[in-house]
Formats: sequence, C-alpha cells, structure tokens
Amino acid sequence: MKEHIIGIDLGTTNSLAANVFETGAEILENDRFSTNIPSVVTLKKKMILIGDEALRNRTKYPQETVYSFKRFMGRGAKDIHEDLSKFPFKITIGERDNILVGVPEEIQYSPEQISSFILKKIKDEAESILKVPITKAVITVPAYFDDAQRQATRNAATLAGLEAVRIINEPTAAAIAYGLNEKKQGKIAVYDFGGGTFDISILNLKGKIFKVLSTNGDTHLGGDDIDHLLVEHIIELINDNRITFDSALNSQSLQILKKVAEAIKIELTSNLESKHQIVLPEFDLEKTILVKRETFDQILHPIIKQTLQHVETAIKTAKIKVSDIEEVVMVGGSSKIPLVSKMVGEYFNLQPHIKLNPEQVVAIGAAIQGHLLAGGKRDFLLMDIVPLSLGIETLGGTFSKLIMKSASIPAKVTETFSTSADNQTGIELSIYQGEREFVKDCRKLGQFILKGIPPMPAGLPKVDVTFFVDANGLLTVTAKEQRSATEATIDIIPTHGLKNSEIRRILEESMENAFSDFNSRNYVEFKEKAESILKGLDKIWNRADQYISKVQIEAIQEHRLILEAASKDNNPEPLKAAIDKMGDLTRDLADSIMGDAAKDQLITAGLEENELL
Amino acid sequence: MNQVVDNYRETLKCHSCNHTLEQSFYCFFCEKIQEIKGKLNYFSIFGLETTYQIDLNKVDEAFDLLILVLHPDYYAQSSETDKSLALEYSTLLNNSKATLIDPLRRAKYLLSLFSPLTDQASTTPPKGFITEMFSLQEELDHAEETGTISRSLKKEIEDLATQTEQFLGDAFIQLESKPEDKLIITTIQEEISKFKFIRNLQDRSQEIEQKQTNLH
Repeated sequence: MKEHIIGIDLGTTNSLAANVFETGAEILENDRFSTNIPSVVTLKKKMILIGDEALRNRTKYPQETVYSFKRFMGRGAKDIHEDLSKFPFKITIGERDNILVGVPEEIQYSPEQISSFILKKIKDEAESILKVPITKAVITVPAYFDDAQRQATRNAATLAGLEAVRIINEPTAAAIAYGLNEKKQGKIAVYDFGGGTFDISILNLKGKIFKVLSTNGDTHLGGDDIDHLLVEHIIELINDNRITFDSALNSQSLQILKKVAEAIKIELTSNLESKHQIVLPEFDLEKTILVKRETFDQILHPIIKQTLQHVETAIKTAKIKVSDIEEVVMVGGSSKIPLVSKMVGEYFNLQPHIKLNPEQVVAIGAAIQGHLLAGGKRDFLLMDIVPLSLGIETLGGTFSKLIMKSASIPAKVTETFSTSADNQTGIELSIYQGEREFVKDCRKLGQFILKGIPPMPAGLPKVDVTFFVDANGLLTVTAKEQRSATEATIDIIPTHGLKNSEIRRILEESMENAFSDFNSRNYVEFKEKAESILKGLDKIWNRADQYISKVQIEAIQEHRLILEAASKDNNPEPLKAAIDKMGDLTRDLADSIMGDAAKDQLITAGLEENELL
Repeated sequence: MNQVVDNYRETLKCHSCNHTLEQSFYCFFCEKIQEIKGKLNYFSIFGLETTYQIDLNKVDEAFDLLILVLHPDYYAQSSETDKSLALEYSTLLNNSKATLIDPLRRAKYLLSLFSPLTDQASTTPPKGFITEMFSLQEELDHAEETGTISRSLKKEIEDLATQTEQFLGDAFIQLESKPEDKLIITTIQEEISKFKFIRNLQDRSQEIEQKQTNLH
C-alpha cells in the first residue's frame, strides 16, 4: 500500500475514524489513543478543548462549550429552523448570513473551523496509533447533505490539514461494510438515525456492485431533537414555576439539562425507568426526577413516525415495494433505542440487522472505501447517486433541472439556453438544488455571470450550460456561448460558507500560530501531567536516597518548586519546559527504582496516572 | 449522419498490447484503459445495434462489465491521463444507461442521432389525443381522492405506453431504411410528444399505487 487513507465519520454528537489493516477494517483506538471522540469543542480565548475534555468541562464552561455544529455546516441563518437562543453557547450571524459560533468580543469561529478542530484531533490520534503521517481521508456526510454542506465538510478537512479524497454518504458507507461483511445480495435498506440527522438509503447489492437506488432524509432530525423533547419533559417534571421551556435559562442550566437528557436516553435503552438528581445552581434547586420507558416512548413516537415517512418516499423513488427489501441495516446511535428498532421492524416486517455496531459501521465503511482509493483490493464498487435534482433558474423563476434526482454519479449534462433581451452581453446563472417547480422553493447553491457575449438579438446567443457532478457528489458548472466561445466556470462556493481566499487566510494564520495553538491546546494536558508527576514523586520520595545521590535529590527538590509554580501559572511554554526538565532530572531515580516500565510511567505520567506508583 | 455510423464493429486493437478488443474502452487482457479515437453513440457503447428496440438486460450486463473496470475509484493511484479517461468513460456509461433504459429518453436520443437539428419541443399531439389524455387525467384525479386506482385504469395507461413504444420501434425501423424521410421524422416527433403526456399519467398512477401499498 502506497499510502494510508483513513475513514472518518464526522458525526453530530460523536466522531471516529477507522483504518483497513491486513486483518480487516478496525476503529482506530488503543489503550493510549483514541479517534473516537465526542464532537464537542470548548472555545476559550487562550485555550481550546476538544472532544472528551470539552465534554467533561461543559458545565464548567457552559457558554464556551459548543456542540451540534454539524447542523450549521454550509448553512445560512435562514436555513436554521431551531431557536438559536436555546443553545447555551453564543451564535451570531455574519455578513453573508453565515453562522459564527463563540463570544463576539473574544473568539468566533465558523462551523467549518470548529469541525476542523475535531478532524485535527482525529488526525493527531490516528497518527499516534498508526505511527505514520496521515494526510488523506474519506469523510462521510449524511446522504441528504446538499452541495453546500458537502463543500463545507471538505473545507473543514483542508483546514485540519487533511485532503478529503472522497466525501461519501453515511448510509452508503454502512452498506459497504455490511455488503462485504455479510456477503449478501439483493435489495437492502439502510436506516441511519444519528445524533443530528436522519437518512434512509435503498441499495441493490449485485455481485461486486453496490448500487444506491434512492435516498431520502432530513438533515435536522436526530438524537438532538430527542434530547430537546426530553428536556421539555424534564422541565415539566421539575414543576417549578421559575423554570419553563420558554424562560431564558442560563447557559449552565441548559448544559446541565441536556446532559441529564442524554443520560436518561441512554439508560432507557436497557432499563425500564431512569432516575436522576437534577442540580441547578441558577435556581438553587435540587430535585430527583423519574422518567419511565413508557413516557419516553410516547415522546419518541412522532419522531419515529416522521422517519418512516422518509422511508416510504425513498421506497417510492426506488420504484420498488416494501416487501422487496430483504434486510434493514440499522445505523447511528439513535437507532439503538428499543422503540426505533420495534417500529422499523414492524414497518418492514423484518428483524432489523444489528450485528454490525451501529455506531462504528459508517467509519468502517469509509475506511474500506479509503483502502480501495489507496489502491487496495478491488472487491467491490460503490455506485452512488445525486440525492436532489440540480438545475438553474429560468424565466419567471422556474427551476430547470439539468441533473435529475437519483442520477448515478459521476454525471454530466449539457443544455442550451439563450438570452431574453436584445443586445444582452451577460447572463446571470443562479444554481439551485431541490425538487420543486419554482426556485423560491429550492435551495440556492450559488450564482455566476457569463460576461462578454457579443451584442445579438434576443434568443440568438446559444449558451451551453454544463453541470458536472463528480464522484464526490460535488458540482461544477460551466457556461459557454457557442458563437463567441465566451466561457465561464465556477466550482460552487457555498453562499454562506468559507470562500477559498478565506480558507487560505485561515491556513496561513494557523501556520503562524501553529506553535502557540499547539501549546495552549495542550495546556490542560500539561497541567495534568505536572500534577501527576508531583504526586508520583510524593509517593517515592522517602525512598529516594536509597537510589540517587544527594546532589540529584537537591536538584530535584529545587526544580520541584519551579514545576509547582509553573503549573499554577497560565503559561504553557515554561510549564512544558519544567516538565521536560523534571523528566531529565528524575530519569536515574526512575530507572533504578522501577525498571523500564515504571520509568516510562514517571516521565509520561498523566496518561495513566495512579497505575504504577 | 456520421454519428449514427457504428464504428464498434471495426477490428479494435489494444494500444498497449495489440490484443484484439471486443469493445473500445478497456483491454481485459493487459488490463489497460484505452484512448478512443472514433465517436461512439450510446448504443454502440454497450455493443448494441443503433435501433429503438433493444434488450435491456444486455444494457445491464454490458454496463456492469465495463463499470467494474472503468470506475474512477479504481484509478485513484493511476496517471492523470488514465484518471481523466476513467472519469470521462464512467460519466458516459452512466448517461448512456440512463438514456437507454428510459423508452422516452431513448426515442429522443435516437431521433437526435438521425436528425440532429430537429427541435423536439416543436410538435404538439393531435386534438383527439389531448381529449383522451384529459379524460384519463380526470379518472386519475378521482383515484387520487379515493386513494385507490382500479386495475383497468392502470392497464389502460400501461397499454398506451406499450403501444407508443411499439409504434416508435416500427417507425425507427422505417427511418433506418430512409434516414432523410421528413414524414417519418414528423411521425416520430409526434409520437414522442404523445409519450410525454403518457409518461405523466404513468408517474401519477404509480404514485397512487405506491401510497396504496404502503398504507396496507
């Protein structure tokens, strides 16, 4: 294998990566490193916490800890239907109707940048595990993501120093893993109910070819919505007139309630009831609540019904019957909920397939696709489709579709259009995606102007408009006037997303700040490390004189004070230096006291503290 | 007219190993993607005669065989030339298959090969046909309201489509022997415009039927 192309499932609530080894595809994690991280980031002025650390600190830094940012990828403020004030963190609207997350006076990031922190962390962890530089990845997106959302995901990867060699659909990735694992043939449905999105894909597995027949879904329907309804229910149970769902709860209360809702949801997957003590410092309130599975099911029922409506549409689009489906593969954390499995099973009249871990199967499939692209075994071929029709606005605001929904990709269509006014020298092309008759009901992807057409009577110029959707599902539009050979091309730049120039600027800045970024990001880790080293020293200090010289003992004692001081100061660089020096000073002691394993422990303490010392 | 000419049957040799090829895209002997010099039409790509009545299973078989050696996913590590050939051919295969498996699109495409300058939108079907369509649309409106579609209505619509397909098949055979015949071209244009109306009926009838089965 020439290169490693890992697979990354960049999820709404959780992200993880997998890689194909000689023995098969596996999630990238070991006892020291893990790419399986919560999609949560804490954005403080001098410190960015990513993943587990951010999640642990969400009630400590309620305003700065952001989650569910995948929902904002490639979207404008108008596209976001939920009430932004219900998020504990601050969301502002930028100049281009784009979304910015963070406290305006302090620190603000685009959803792409925040996603890039997650991707960078995954890249770092994967490199630590595989011990090779990782620069390429296959990244998954919900099948129902439109062009702008896909482009935003690819940009996030660029910002993280990763080339997204392929963007593939989450349910399709799951189908690859399923198809290769189970070696089954026929028509299958992939029911992907995740943290923030719902997707249904119908595939036909025939020989080596895994062909997507249709796909449907909602990019705003997932575990988040379940949490939201649960929070409403918890507020009812608290039954305190100071707390209503409409009242402006502070950030900390919102984070606490979400945390409890998540815990209840998980508990009710295996238990019939879930009891929790809720502590809300804002109201000086302590209350124990009890949620029964039955109540939870009632809350959930309408949401699952909604997913089944999408399933029905997908089956219709595939031009097949429900009974043609031979297997339903369950994907995503939310599909583990018992009622989901029950209702889906009843709908298809089949026992849902849960043999493959619903939370890992997408990353595994992406890794398998990555392996293929790296020149690996050609034992399958994925044929995916365009989820939504693509076209341009024509006279009277009508939507002229060039590439139809469910067309296999790569796909290319050229159609000829003309001018509507005499001596028109420019044509403005507005590009839309959707299924409706009029552009006002579709989603605008971008626009461009073909200039320099020689003056001619209306209707005489012939403008060939070519839509090309590549294997990533990404669109390029070209327009060419036949008579004058005037030409213009655009890669669709998301109306609300980052421009190429902005990506370049962010990348340049991050190069300049690479060192300080690195340090501040690792500051918390350094601090933990220092504490753990000091604790370790305490435990063995009374025996130290048996192993090392007086001079060495004094040197360590002296440096100990420096390390203690540095760990209290908010400056990461001296702290790192102090830790390194302590490592050097204690090397002899560690060597003689505990042998190799323990030496490693003393120096790299903080990773597995309290284990050996 | 040169586009209709099928250069598929000419003896093809692999540019790399000189092995005789059965199609223009790929040498299964030395596993090399080929550069194509001549022009292929959507029919010849799949080894089919350029004619309206075709065996759809053959399209499927030929498509699967070719896509499994031409898809860009298999060329990610190849030279830029091979990469762009793979992308071009896969796009062509997808478009060709989508055109051929749809009898309406197939008719439009085949007519464009015979008569590249014909504007297909210019013809409207005869009045009697339009009246027939209106009455069928009304029956479908009724079926939509009640949520059930009668077997006879469904059959009537399907029969119309089959008849149109058969008629087109015959007309294209005539056109093959007299490629410049204006009258035959006009007949085909008219039939294509009828087909668009029938297609609309087919879509609606299918939609009603789907709802019916899914509600069970």
